[in-house]
Amino acid sequence: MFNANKVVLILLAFLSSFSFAQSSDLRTKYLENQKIEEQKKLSDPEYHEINKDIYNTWKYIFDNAEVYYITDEYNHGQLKKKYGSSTHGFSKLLIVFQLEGKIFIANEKPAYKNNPIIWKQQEMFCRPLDQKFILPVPLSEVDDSGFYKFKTSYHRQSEFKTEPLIPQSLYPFEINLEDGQCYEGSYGGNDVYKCHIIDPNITGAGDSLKQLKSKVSLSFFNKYSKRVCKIKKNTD
Amino acid sequence: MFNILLIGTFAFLNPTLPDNPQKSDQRLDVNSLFEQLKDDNKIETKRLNKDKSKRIKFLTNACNSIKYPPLRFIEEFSKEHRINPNSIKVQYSVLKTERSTKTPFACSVTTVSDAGLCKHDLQITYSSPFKILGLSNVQCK
Repeated sequence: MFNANKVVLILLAFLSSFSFAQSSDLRTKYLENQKIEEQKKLSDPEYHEINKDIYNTWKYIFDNAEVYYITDEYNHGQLKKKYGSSTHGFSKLLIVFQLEGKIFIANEKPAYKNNPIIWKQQEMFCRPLDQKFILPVPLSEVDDSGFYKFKTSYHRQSEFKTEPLIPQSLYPFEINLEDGQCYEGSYGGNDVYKCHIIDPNITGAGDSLKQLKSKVSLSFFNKYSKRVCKIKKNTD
Repeated sequence: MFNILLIGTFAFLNPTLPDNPQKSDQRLDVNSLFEQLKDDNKIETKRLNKDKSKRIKFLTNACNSIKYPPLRFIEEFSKEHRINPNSIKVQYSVLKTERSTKTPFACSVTTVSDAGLCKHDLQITYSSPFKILGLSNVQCK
């Protein structure tokens, strides 16, 4: 008898705690949603439009562009040694998206107030300070000889800070995506080296693209987080 | 780990993630996009150049304004060279233009003292008012 009562009591305690936990979870979620809605209002309305536009542009690029992976002589040599390995970590990699005779790369940059990001002539800065955006950057159009000529720098496997506008980190490239010719120059252009367009199916380069896609998604969905962004009104 | 969970959650909530095999239906004007983003680059380059010239102007003025070496340096330098600290005078100070992106901004400072003519790198901050971080690379003739 005593044991049966004990069992019933334990069962009731368990059930009540379960229903309490459930209602508590819903309440927490409701309050969180309220907070998110309030947080969203702190950003300028244009921010949400820009954020959506960046995401949609990336989606279009991911869905429609041809993707090429470029690496330097050293990394290509390392790849040959580890032929067949899908886990090669690239210290230098460039993911190039080709669309209608034009190529784009990804560039990850923070949106500081004194150094805002620019998207279609609108300047935007965010808080907290470490808020980053990954933007598609136009590199080059194909010329009559089938070459794309541009200046940029490699990124690491999971970092997409190509910083195309900092002159010290820019190197000239000439690539032909049809026949696979690839040349890179040194800063100042005195030396020329061969670079390589690599097959992602036999390397880990494809993993880098997956990371880029994840980062772009996270960047977009961060609009539901504590990111507060403003549009810089006076541009000159 | 948290990132993976977050991506997983969003992937579940939103069916239009880039990994989705369904392609974008909307056609994008690639030419227009390319030109618009090129214009963005031009704006950014212009801004960077403007910032650079503003920075150079500030640092040049900061370097030119240095008439006395930092007190701590005078103490150390006079002890090391066994000279009279009062003999140390700044002859001239100019902005050091050659620097790697990872090192602080620096002025090339020439001092004249009982130790002779010495050249130093004086590291300064890009903040108003600027701060002297330290002296290095002392070379005396």
